[in-house]
Amino acid sequence: MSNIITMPQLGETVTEGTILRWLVKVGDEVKEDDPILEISTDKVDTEVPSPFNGTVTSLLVEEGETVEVGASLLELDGSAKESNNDKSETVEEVQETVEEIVKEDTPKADVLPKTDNVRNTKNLKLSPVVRRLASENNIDLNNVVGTGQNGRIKREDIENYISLGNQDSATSTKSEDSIKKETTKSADTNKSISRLRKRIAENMVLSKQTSAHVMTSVEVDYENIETIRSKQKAKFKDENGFSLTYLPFISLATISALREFPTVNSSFDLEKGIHDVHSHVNLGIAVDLNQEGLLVGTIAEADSFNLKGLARKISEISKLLRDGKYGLEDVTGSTFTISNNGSFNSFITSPIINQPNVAILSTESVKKRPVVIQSQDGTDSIAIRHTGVLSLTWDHRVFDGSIALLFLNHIKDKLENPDWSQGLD
Amino acid sequence: MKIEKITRKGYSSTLSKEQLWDVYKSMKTQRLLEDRLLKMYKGGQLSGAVYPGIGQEASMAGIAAGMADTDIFGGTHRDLGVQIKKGVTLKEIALNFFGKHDGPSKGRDGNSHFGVVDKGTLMVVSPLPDSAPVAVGWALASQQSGSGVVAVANCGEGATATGTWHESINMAGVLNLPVVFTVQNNQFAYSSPNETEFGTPNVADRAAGYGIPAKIIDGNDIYEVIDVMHEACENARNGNGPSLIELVTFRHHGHAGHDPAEYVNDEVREFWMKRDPIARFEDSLVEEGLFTTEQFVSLNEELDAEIKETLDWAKNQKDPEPQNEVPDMFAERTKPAIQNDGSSKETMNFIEAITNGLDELMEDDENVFMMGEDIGVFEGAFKATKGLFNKYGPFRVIDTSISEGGFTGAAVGAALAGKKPIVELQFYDFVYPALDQITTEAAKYHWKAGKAVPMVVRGPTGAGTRSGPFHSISPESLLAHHPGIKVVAPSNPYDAKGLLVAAVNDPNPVMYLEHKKLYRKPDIKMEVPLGLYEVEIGKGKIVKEGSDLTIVTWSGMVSVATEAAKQLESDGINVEIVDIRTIVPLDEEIILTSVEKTSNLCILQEDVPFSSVASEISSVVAEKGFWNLDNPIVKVTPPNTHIPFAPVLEDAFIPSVEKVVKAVKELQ
Repeated sequence: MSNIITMPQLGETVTEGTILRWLVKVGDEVKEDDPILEISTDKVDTEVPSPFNGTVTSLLVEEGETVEVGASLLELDGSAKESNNDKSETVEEVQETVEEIVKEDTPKADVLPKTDNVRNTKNLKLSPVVRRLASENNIDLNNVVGTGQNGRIKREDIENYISLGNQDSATSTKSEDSIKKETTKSADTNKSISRLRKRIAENMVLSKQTSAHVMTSVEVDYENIETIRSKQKAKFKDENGFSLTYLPFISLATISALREFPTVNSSFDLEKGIHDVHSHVNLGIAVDLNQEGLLVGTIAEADSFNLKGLARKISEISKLLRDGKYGLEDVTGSTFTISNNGSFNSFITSPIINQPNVAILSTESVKKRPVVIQSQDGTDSIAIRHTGVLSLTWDHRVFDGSIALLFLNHIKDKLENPDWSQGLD
Repeated sequence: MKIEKITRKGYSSTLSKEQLWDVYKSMKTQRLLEDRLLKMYKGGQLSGAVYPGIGQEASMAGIAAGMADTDIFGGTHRDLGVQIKKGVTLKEIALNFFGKHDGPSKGRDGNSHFGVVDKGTLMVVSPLPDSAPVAVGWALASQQSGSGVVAVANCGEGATATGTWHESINMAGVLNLPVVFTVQNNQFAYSSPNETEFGTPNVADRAAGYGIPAKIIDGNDIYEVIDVMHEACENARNGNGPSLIELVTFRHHGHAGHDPAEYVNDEVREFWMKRDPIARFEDSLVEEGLFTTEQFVSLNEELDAEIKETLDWAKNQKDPEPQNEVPDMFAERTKPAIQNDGSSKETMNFIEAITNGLDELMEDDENVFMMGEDIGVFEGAFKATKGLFNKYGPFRVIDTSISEGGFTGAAVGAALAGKKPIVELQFYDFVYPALDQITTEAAKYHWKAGKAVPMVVRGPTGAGTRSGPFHSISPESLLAHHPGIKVVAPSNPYDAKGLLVAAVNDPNPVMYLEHKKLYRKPDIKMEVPLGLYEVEIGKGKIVKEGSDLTIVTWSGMVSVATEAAKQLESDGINVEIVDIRTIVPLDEEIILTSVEKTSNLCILQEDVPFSSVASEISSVVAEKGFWNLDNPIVKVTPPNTHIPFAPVLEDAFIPSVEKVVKAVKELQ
């Protein structure tokens, strides 16, 4: 009896995945739990283990293809001949027939959109207008990002693509005119959008469309923390193998604020009418992948760590993400996110909320600045202090400015008046 | 065989020798022609059919001879004798039998199914007696204008069992119209004898039921037919109202060329052969010493040769051209567009705009008049004719009996006679009994008889007033399916008046649909120009511009679309609304242009979905706008059911704003 292995759903919001690489080929014997392919979703790249023992009789999708969750990927112990050979022959036959029609009946080419440029997009639903525009403008639809349901390419997607000056060289039937046009814009480079970039783009747009973003910020005096940090820095690095940055301090203060204002540590689904206030803080840390993308790593139950533990977790998750060695649980389930823009010398940032969170904190650069301070006898004087801004983008659908500021000021108080040494012992 | 003698009396005794020879010649022409056609048909020389009236020549020629030249005759396929005596030529008849381009029906109908209106014979159609209400309408026009024209509504005894005949004769009786109803009782309706067709001993006995006089006469006695017909016509001409004449006669052959008439027994046949109308006429003419047998023989030879020659000629005449079929469907408008600077305006609701339009149209042109139930003193069920009876009187705002088929057919006749009738259906649901007249007569006249029929059938449509399954239909798809009629459905007061004026000025039958929920809807009140102006029939309108999706709709659903568009706007979906305003002819261009812009189409209609206008629009866009579509076409319609009464059911039936919003949001 044959077994079909289907695209797993790796995370609640995942609807599709891309086949990165087959690890088996037709005829291979596989055992239960043997890795059979690598897939990539918007959350994670991972190996899929075989749930069965058997012989591979058919690979049903090609590498690079994106299919919906539940789509058939691989067949074990099927009737090899019919499922494998027949399929590929049919595909070739169809393609040949289409090419013949186009060749023999050239006048029709104006009316009948050529299929060359849609050959590799057979799992996408392509509407007539998209097919026509692709044909008229020589667009390779593989390069167009769809913003419709399930990534469907809508008319506006292809129009946007065209309006950016794109014209793909997928076909060999270009007129001299079109070649000239391409020459004139040869200084530009066209490259296809990476899968990760596409996911980021979709998530960012989705978030902007979902939440009512408001940004609020406070100024924080880090002088006390700086004192502790400069004292402990060298020792800490020796003992732990990584630097003690501001981030663990801010994270700890944020966790304290999240406990005080649990609304900020929640998920909000207006359509379903559900406001889910989380009992634990799963802290999301935005990690820059060396300017090639951005992922949010999750520190589960971050509220159970002390300063040192938190520092270690932050260091670990960053490394895991940058090395691409993370699992699904490392990039899902955050309840609140911190984006450490200060490490790139920011002054103030208005980050986009990481859905389904309701707020995101941006930590800005800490610098020595002149500050007016009041001494105990009431006199003012100017001092040089380490200060920086903390910005919070929050969802005005869920709460209002009072909570946002009480929340921010709670973090500020914790950072300015700490007894931090305990956590470092 | 001894011939039953006839003698001249009354009006026939005043006829000159020449007039009598004319009558004789027409009878003889009919007989020889039909005999020839029957032989050709049986010999495979003629396709179609032949309906010989041999044996009834005295009835036919006598009816025509009793009429004035200007009088109008509405008859059947078995009335060639009347047509010949009225002046229709052998050539016209022959061309029609061969389906030729220059025949009276241009090849669109064959054999004796034609009329030549300019010679006073109405278009012949197969459903009988469908020309009766048309004749009644011509008589109505005659009564209004005082032209003195009398209309004759003729049929066989079989057709008197129909509602159409009953409605016609009842209407004529009630309105005291100059109509003569003649019934050639030739003993058989196809194969059915009298006793299976009516319960009274005679057809004429029924006249009592309509309050009009009647006579039963020997239809094979040419003198009696002429005499009685003449008297009836003159009575009608002098304002003494309609009458009924039953002409008892016999057809020698079967119903049609293929029918051997075995249902006629020898006894009956022998009785009637002794009363052959031509033999009796000849016998009497010889007896009076007016003509000799040699003259009859000589005429016989002459006519026989002329008939053969004409039929041979007609066979080789020009065939009709298929490419003319669609262009000939509608009469072309020659009346120039109306100018109105729109400077004088008044705020009106939907029904006020209609009433204002009706008033100004009647004021402007005395040929415009109205017919319908309770529209006079009572001013209509919805008060659309408010003030009009008082202003224009009972001859221009006519209260009719409950006879939708009758008065709609009468509108056809009045339109042919030069009037511009506006029929009000109390509810458009009652169009069903009128549909026969609308589709058989109104829709086909220009195509088949080359005569324009400028008439308007208006009335309330649509659901939402808790009026149940028989006061709520949206009939646009039902009407639009029939070629030859235009259908308009305005959605606001300005369009309502402008389209009404355009409909009355159109030379074709226009069905004018008024959604009753709009009549007094306060939020669509608007400024309407005083004085006549038109909204062009066949042109839609962009009610709201948008970029993401097109909603095509009309009539009562335009306001639903507008509300839905508002809600969708807040979801970031920018909707364009096209109010097509006219269903037939459909403004395909405005729809296709909008879809080219938005790539997404939702069609919203209150009519039920199967085989509907929405289906048609969907088909047009799928055929002509396919490469502009970015999503499947969505139709928002009621379920394919009847319109229910219970509020909960009716509300679920009518497409709601929520349904539109949901359907649009489900697009990808």
